[in-house]
Amino acid sequence: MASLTLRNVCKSYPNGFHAVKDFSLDIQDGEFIIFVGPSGCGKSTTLRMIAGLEEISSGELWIDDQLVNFLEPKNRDLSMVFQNYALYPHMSVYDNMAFSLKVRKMDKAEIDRRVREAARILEIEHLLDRKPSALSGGQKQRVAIGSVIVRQPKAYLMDEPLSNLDAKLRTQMRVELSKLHQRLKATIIYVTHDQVEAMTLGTRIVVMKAGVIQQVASPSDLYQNPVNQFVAGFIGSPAMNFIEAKVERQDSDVYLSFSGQRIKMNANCSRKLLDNGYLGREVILGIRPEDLYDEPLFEGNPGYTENQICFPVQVREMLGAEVLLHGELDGTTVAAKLRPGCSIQAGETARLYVDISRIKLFDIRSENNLLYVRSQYDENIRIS
Amino acid sequence: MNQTFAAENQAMKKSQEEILKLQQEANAKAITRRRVEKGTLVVLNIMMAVFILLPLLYAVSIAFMPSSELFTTEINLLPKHPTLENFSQALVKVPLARFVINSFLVAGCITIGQIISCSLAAFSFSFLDFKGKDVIFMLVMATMMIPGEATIISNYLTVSKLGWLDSYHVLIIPYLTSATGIFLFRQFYMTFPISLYESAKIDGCTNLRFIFTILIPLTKSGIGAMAVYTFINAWNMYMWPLLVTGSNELRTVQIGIGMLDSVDSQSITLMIAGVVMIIIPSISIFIIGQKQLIRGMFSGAVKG
Repeated sequence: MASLTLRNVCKSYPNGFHAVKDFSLDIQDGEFIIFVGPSGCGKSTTLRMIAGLEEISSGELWIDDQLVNFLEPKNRDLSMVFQNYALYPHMSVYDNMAFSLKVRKMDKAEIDRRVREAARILEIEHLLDRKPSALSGGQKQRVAIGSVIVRQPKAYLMDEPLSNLDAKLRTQMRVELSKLHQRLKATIIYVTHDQVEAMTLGTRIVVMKAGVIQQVASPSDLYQNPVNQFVAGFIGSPAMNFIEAKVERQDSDVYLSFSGQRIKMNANCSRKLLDNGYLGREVILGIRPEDLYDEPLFEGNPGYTENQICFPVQVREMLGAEVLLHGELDGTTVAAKLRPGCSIQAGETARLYVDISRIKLFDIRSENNLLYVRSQYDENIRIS
Repeated sequence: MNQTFAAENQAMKKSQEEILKLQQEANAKAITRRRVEKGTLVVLNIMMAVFILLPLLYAVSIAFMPSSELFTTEINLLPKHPTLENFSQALVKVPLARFVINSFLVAGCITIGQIISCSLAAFSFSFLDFKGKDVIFMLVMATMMIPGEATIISNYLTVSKLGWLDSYHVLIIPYLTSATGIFLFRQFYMTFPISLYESAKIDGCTNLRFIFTILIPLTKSGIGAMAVYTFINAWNMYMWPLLVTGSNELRTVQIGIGMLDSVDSQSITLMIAGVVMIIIPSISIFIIGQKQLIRGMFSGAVKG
């Protein structure tokens, strides 16, 4: 296994389009790194640059202590799982898995040992004689993973490997991948646009937007301490509610007011808002749907009884373990994730309590999180 | 009460029987209609096939006719006194077997050569990334717009300066590659999933190994189509072999047939017998390869 370092890596195309801008990241040995972001954010391009399938326009890529910018893909000793599995249709599962070792002229007995071991790990031993066309999606995916693990490369690259599977199989394979990572102690770089995959698999997540790293953090950090409005909105499902609100002061208390309602800030938020001169200005209030309650159930939140938001409910979705309410507040959509016993119906007005200790505040122009706590990975982030 | 039930039951039974009868009638009608439709289509198809194949069938018929039967004022569609004389005469008058061997050799070499050169060129046009790729491809395509007749004299002068006239290589070498072939192969390769190439590259596969172990086995239908198309074209070449070969040892069949005509201008039956004989290889190549040809022609047209 190996560590990888990307320094100021950029990718630009002859037509002037910049797919990746100034990408810097240190990937430690054995880490499960996730590149996540919306379509076209440059995550796959970055992965392909690491693999050597795309040229690096500027910047440096180091694998261990070797600069590999100009090294051919085959000499980088990385292996990659593709979205569409990329299995050779005319070869059996065994030959598919053995192909990369045969190309490297490895001893036949050793090839056989490695293929059978990988097949055993992935529980595909009974499929070794079949052709890919006779396999189901999940089996194909296992074979694709099998053909990369036989090589025992320095790092595994995975480009949305689960996106072609159905929802149930995806959950199952996610768990398998997690187990595999623990077992192999491998360095894995994984690209996905699915935030659930990102949150569940990654030891660290790199959130990208328009070719630029937004934040690099552990899943829980990313969820609790997003650097800006984009990250806050991207991580979490349903997405965080964003409400434009005005900062007001009454006596010694600070309030956020919006569409005829107001909520009282706690000491930390009040201090941040006052210290940074936001009094009388507009900010974006971010509340996660799961931080809204139909009953004041949560504790340790002084003043919760007066911190309520009201909105007309348009749609009520019963998901079994939870109820989602969707409504509208001043033209912006609002969602709330409540316990299944919640009695609020569509057409009614929801009056929900806000857990003030968990709200986020964003600058309306820069979209940066005003309550952001700097972390150890922050040298990689460009805060505008 | 019971009586009413019984009456109702009977009425129901009766109506069920009626429904069954109606259904059977409808089925019988549908079957007859389908049979009539199918029969009409078959008859129409046979008529069309006979109409289209008439020249060919008539040629086969003439090949079996004595020449006296052909030159009459009556319509002789079928030979009255069928004979194999024409075939044996054709084989005696000109060395037809030699011509067939020559044609096979030339067409075979051209086919193999074109498959190798065109697939390699098409590979670089569709998988590799290099400067001027599009311009070079356009240049290759542009050569398709120049008719062969326009370059035939300059080509003749070139090969004669090289001292290649009247040899096998003059028949083969100028045709070892073709823009059409490159274009066809490129179209096949464009539908090939690029991730397989990328995967092979990361696996450590060289380009040549990729072509021979992955690309060629997976584009067999395209290669088959190309092989049939090229072979038939090469088999039917006329102008170039006529121009560059002079001796009987190097003549190809198409010219050989022409020689039958010039030896004795009266014997059309002889010539037709020759045509019938030499048409067999190209038809059999087509029959053997037609599945590949059609699959190749339509590959990529629909998802699957």
